[in-house]
Amino acid sequence: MKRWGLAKAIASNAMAYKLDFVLWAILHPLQIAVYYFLWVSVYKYGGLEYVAGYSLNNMITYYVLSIVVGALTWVGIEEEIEEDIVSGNMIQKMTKPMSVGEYFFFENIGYKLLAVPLIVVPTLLLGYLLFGAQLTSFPNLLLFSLFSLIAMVMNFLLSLTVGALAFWMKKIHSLVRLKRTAFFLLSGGLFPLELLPTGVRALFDLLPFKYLLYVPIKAYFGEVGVEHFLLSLGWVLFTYLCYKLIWRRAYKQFKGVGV
Amino acid sequence: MIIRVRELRKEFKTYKKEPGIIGSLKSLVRRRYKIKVAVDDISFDVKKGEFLGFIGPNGAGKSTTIKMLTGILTPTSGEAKVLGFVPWKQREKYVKHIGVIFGQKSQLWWDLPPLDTFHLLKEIYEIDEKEFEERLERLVKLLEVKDVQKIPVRNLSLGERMKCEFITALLHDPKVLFLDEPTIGLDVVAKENIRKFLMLMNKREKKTIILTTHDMSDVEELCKRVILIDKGKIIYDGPLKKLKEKFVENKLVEVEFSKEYKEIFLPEGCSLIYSSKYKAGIEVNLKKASVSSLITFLLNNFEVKDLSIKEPKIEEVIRKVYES
Amino acid sequence: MRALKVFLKFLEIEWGKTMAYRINFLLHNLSILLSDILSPLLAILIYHNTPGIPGWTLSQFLLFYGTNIFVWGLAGFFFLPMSWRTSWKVRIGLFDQILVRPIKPVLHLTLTSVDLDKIGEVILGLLIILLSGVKFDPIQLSMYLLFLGCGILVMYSLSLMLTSAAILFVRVKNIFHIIWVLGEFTEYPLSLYSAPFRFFFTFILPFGLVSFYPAYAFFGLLESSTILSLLLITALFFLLALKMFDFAIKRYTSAGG
Repeated sequence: MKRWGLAKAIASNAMAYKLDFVLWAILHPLQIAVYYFLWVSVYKYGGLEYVAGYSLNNMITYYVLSIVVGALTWVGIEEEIEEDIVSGNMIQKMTKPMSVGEYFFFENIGYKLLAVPLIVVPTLLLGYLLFGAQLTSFPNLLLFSLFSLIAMVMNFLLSLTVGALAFWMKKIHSLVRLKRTAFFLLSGGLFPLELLPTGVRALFDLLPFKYLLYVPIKAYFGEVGVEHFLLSLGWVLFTYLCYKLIWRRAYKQFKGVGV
Repeated sequence: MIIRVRELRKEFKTYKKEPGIIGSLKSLVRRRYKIKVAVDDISFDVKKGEFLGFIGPNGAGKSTTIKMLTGILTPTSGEAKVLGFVPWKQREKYVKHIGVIFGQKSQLWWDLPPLDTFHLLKEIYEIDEKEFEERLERLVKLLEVKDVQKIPVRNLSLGERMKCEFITALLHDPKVLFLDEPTIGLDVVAKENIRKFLMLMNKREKKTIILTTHDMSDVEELCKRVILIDKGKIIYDGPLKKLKEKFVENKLVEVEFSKEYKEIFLPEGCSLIYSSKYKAGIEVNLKKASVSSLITFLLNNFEVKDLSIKEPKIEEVIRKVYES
Repeated sequence: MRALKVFLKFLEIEWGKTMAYRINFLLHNLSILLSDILSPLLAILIYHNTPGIPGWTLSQFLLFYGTNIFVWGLAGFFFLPMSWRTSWKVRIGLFDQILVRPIKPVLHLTLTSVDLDKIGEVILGLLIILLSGVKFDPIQLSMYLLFLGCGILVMYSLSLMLTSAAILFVRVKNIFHIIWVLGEFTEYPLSLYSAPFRFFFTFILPFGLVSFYPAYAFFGLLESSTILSLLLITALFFLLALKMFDFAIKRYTSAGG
């Protein structure tokens, strides 16, 4: 299939930058260290067994998984879209039999194929061996994979939607950075959402962003229910509609203006 | 002597790496290298007010020599003194008195209008306010860049950019100008303008100018003296006239006629190299005839639509020099 | 002084450029501010849910963190951009223009690196410091300022080192990435980390001087021997940076760029 060929091509092309990827493998787990030290000292200082329902090992596992899921759901699409518009490649992509969305999707899978061996595996390994992260049951692992998949799709669609703004705004670096930081915060990447005071927590719960990180991590601990699954699918549908709407607008606008 | 060069030499190490993983590993342990001699013990002098042309094929060592004389490259051995300075040893003091243009590399801030760069340079060179305003106005007028100077550099055409580059090189009123391929990539009109401007700088303002180029027509119009460099060595150092008299034997004139001519008859010393329906290439043996006389002949006897004179390539001239 | 004039002129030019893209400027500052808020947010939640971070009250932590933001912001405003801009210049071949000017390359690059996008961070850092609610006396303040100065010098030295790397190796995105990740360790006090990390960030890459030691000095917890050694480290790090830069320039002018 031509589409999978694209994914493979991206993966093998990227291997040319070998040094970069060795670095990734080391740097991502290193980021755990800061939070490891932080929480170890907080738990020790307070003589605490649980914080917001998490034991120390739970907490560490949370951060390890935060990095893992973050790497799995990562997309750099917005910058690509901006570049493609400026360079004129976007026109090419728009006139191919594949839709632009499909093109980016399979290209992104290529990168994800790399992310698994280079980031996920070292991070999990070091997480277990060095930092004391916890293993989980096989069923929970499956749940974790399922919700991670949903998170990947959702983040992909959201990024495509935001990326489309490049058609109108030309330069969207700052906006994208703002979006990534906001998503990181709202999805529970910085801390488990249980730490939030009740009122704020309720707000976070209403938003779809917890499905990007928080819910997959909860799945790892086996703390998800059917309602999470159904709601997440609902949100994916919603983001899909947003993506379709804005890109239809973008096609119109772009074709009208031309290069 | 405003410039003195003695036995100047520059060697470069080029590293060889075998392809593949084994090659990369090998190169970590021991690097194999070759030594390339870019400039091979050259010596020459330049007087104040001269307009010197440095000619030679690509890779001959022209740019390398200029880089050493402007202080941005340190030689492997040898000496050079410009305006009493050793360029690479006293770079910051020395550079205040020279203007440099590297044809391919810009001196202007890429995302700013040239005018901003000019103002920045005023501060860096510590140019007096009044002097700056006067000189800038004069240069802008001469080069006709009044409107262009306010547009960001990345939006300028090559010709417009080049003219602004010249301003950066002259704002601080340097005594010596080093120009490394300044007309490369420019169209005929732009080249003419630049040449006129350089003539002015040399004749009226008595600036010493060193020009490197592999475009013979630049040299023809501007330089009385040329140094011919090839493979790092000076092959010829003297008046351009003599070089041409000795070595340029032929010129090619390309004609386009408005009518079809079955037979093209030519005066003595001119031979037909090729002809097609409306075009013809005629070689003029300079020992026996002149280009101008051929042109007059053609115009008198044929209906000429267009004419161009092809300069012999430098490579050919050099070949002839070798053959002598 | 000429250096000041060059800097001010470049600042003026950059201001004009930035104001032409006001929305982007605003958005950029907003995004930086948001990411800067994250760590204090986590700290506040930690203090909300637990006794807190050992050795630091919330206001002490905020002073520490505000200092961190302030110094990174200052560095990002005045001289950190020097490193990636030089990398770009060398790649495109615009670096020679630096050498052809009658000004020391190190000065030239330093004076033309201002990045107005970071002004928000500087102001935010200052605000957090002032609003942290920590009371101080003149001695504490002077110790703090002394080490703040050291931290700024350390960041400048780091900028010089990264710039030297850019001149030597051209493609340095990886090195930037490493520094960025290591920089994340400055978001929390050094005292939390294990001995190897504390050693590394004090003696090898003195990031501790950016915010930890100034804050520590503020609370009067440093011994005089420590103070002296920290000053010495700052000076050595700076000298090392200058030497590296000199070496980079020498290499460049010998190899021809």
